[in-house]
Amino acid sequence: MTSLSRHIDSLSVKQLKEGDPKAFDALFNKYAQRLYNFSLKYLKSAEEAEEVVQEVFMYVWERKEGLKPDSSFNSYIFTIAYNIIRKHFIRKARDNSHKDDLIYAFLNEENNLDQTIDYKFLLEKVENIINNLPEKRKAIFIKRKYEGLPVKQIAEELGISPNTVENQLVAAQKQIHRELQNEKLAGLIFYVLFLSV
Amino acid sequence: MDTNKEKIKRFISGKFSFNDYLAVSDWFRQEEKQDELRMSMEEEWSETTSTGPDQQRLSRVLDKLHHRINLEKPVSATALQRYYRLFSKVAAILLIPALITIALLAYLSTDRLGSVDAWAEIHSPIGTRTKFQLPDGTVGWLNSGSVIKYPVSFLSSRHVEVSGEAWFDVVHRESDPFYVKTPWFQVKVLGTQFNVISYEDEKTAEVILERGKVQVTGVDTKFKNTLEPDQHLVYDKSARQTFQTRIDAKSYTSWKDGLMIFKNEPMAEIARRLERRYHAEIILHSDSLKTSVFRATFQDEDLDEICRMLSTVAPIRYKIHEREKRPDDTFTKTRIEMWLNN
Repeated sequence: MTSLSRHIDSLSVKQLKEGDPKAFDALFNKYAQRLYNFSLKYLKSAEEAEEVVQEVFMYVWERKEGLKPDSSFNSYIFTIAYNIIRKHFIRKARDNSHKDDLIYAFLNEENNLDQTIDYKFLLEKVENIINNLPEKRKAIFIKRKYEGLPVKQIAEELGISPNTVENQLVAAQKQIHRELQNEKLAGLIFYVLFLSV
Repeated sequence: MDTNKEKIKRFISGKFSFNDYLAVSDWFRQEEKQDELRMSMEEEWSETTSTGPDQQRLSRVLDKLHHRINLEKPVSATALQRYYRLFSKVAAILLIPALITIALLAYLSTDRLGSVDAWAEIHSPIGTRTKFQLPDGTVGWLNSGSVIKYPVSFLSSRHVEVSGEAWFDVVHRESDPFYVKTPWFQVKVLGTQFNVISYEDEKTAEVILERGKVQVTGVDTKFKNTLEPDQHLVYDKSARQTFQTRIDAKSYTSWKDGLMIFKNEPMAEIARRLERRYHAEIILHSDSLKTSVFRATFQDEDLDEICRMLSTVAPIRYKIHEREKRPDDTFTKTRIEMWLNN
């Protein structure tokens, strides 16, 4: 941060505080790409990085009256970004938690937890395998793992015994595991070094 | 043993193990580790460059922000801005009829019975609502993606056909009823305000009465129902059955004023009406979300904005899948997934 850049920020912030939309655009044009790059590092998803940029700037706009032109806008915007990225990260981890469990079990068995992997690819793979499960098995798996419904309720909803639900869940897990092992033979799940240098 | 710092470095670089990911995940989640995480991220922030090829993506974000900021503006709008907004609203209303394609499918029937069938059609393009006036002075609104057809000889017998959703304010004429025909039923009207919903691709066809009295007669299924104000008739196409309930008619017909009013309605019903209005597909993940009840009024907001508002008042998360181009150059519907937060 050069002092010139800080000076320009402080002018823009002063104008934004008075509600000037041009100053808002100026700050956006200066920081959006950097925010995007930053978010991408942690969230690994272009759409989510875009959402972070939008949320950060919406936050700035909604609280523009309270802005302090004399303190660093750079630090201010970092703080907002940090909070929003954290929120996204936690949420995403929660959404993926049942897939993570499957990936963990699979990698653990092969002693590959410390091996460099293509995590995003693995997630997509698991998602794909789940999508291609037989209809009934998939419905049960999704109700249990995505929607968190108790086994008993699923059984009632589908008019089958809780035992059948349990069996289907075990069968689903086994099937996913087996198909992941088949994938591994192709060596695709591991990070291919020469591609990224 | 690697330090957290090394793990997060690897995570950021993209070359990380599952254990690295778990550690980073843990770091984000644990409250007491936040000072440390924040410091590490601040360092990363200062090393993050402002260059990248994402100009297009980001200018789209700026557009969205402008749109949202403009929606909030009324509070601080200047007189000039208010004028401009009024003008743009008026302009929109004036322009929409210009989009109407009026197709005169005029042909003289050589039929021996000698009926002269010339029809006029009014189309309301997807995403717009269109005001219409019929030759007898009856006025109404067509909702997004709907069509109304009426014979050019309309004045001698008042018959119209509707596909989609339409609201009518029918001019009363003694001993000259007004008929609305759908593939499933016919509505006989004396003079009144009511709403007809008959989309081909929906499971039901419906009539909602605001004022006056109408009589609804089945086409293939035999039924004859008389509706009172604030009554709602639903015809289930596959079960071939009708249901009649009491509702607040205004909240169902407010779409014609650009409003969508929901008074303690389940999310499943709200989603259905949003789908119709915005030509979208809304997927509700979980039954408890489908049955959650909401109270809300939306005015000319776009679908993004409505989702955002829903998610700020209720523990809802959503994901919007933008429309995709099909090989034949048409576009898929916007798809929205919604979850209830636990």
